[in-house]
Amino acid sequence: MSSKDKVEALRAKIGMEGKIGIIECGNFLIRRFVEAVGDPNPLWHDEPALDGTYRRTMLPPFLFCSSMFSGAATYPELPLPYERILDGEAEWEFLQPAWSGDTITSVTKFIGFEQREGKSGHMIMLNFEATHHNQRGELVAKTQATLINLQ
Amino acid sequence: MGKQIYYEDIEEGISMPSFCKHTTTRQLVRWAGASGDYNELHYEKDFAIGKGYPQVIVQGRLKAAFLGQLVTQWMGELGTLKKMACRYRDVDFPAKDIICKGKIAKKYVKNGEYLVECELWTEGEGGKITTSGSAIVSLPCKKVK
Repeated sequence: MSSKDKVEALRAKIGMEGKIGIIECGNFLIRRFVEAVGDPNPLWHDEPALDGTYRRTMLPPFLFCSSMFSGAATYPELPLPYERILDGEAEWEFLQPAWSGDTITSVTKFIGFEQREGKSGHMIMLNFEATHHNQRGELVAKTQATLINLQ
Repeated sequence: MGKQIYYEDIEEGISMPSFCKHTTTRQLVRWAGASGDYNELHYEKDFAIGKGYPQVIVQGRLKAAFLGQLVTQWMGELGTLKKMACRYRDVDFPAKDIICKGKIAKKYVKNGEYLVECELWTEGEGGKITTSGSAIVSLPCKKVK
């Protein structure tokens, strides 16, 4: 399929959703995430209480920046015209806190694309939006993201 | 964590305390594992060279998380991060400093919330802006108990 045909095939995929992502957000996942970032904020670190139990930890909102919630892992499969893919930009809206013990279900939809000419040639700006619900069906966050497909 | 800031403490134009991230390849691997991004561009040198880079590059979303750390650290336990946005403008490499900075663009009250809009960015080698972003934060207000 030529690049031009793939661009046309992309149009037919507008509205397509990716695989549903279900992430159980326990203290271990949160700890691994904040240690990777190097963020010492006590809000995200589980601390033992005096009776030996652990208090419930808030999910750092920027956890939703990670791929498993709103990145390539959640995107639908698309007929990309070119080989190179880069993250372009993203916006996250945090509607209510999420906590350790929550299960977050993320669904990402391909909502459209634009074509542009850049320094390295023709490129396609692929636009996605994602919703992130907790186990009670409450919307905790939304993501808008753009991936760049280029020569 | 510093002292809690309040809406009354903020003036438009002031800067947030900045910090420096000196990433390592190990940190990029930890982020790959923690975040689910296994793109070889971030941990396999030959793969990155094959794609035209001199070495592996720092994940854009890790830099977004750095900016998330910057703003949540600044807003304190009583602040709420409502929105955050990032644009990945250029690459950063491990073993080089990434300076994370922010400043207050606007403050206003809307629907009873005391809101602050912030500009965020990372600076790489030579002070080049490699990520630009923004955030909207709700801060506590001293006069409202």
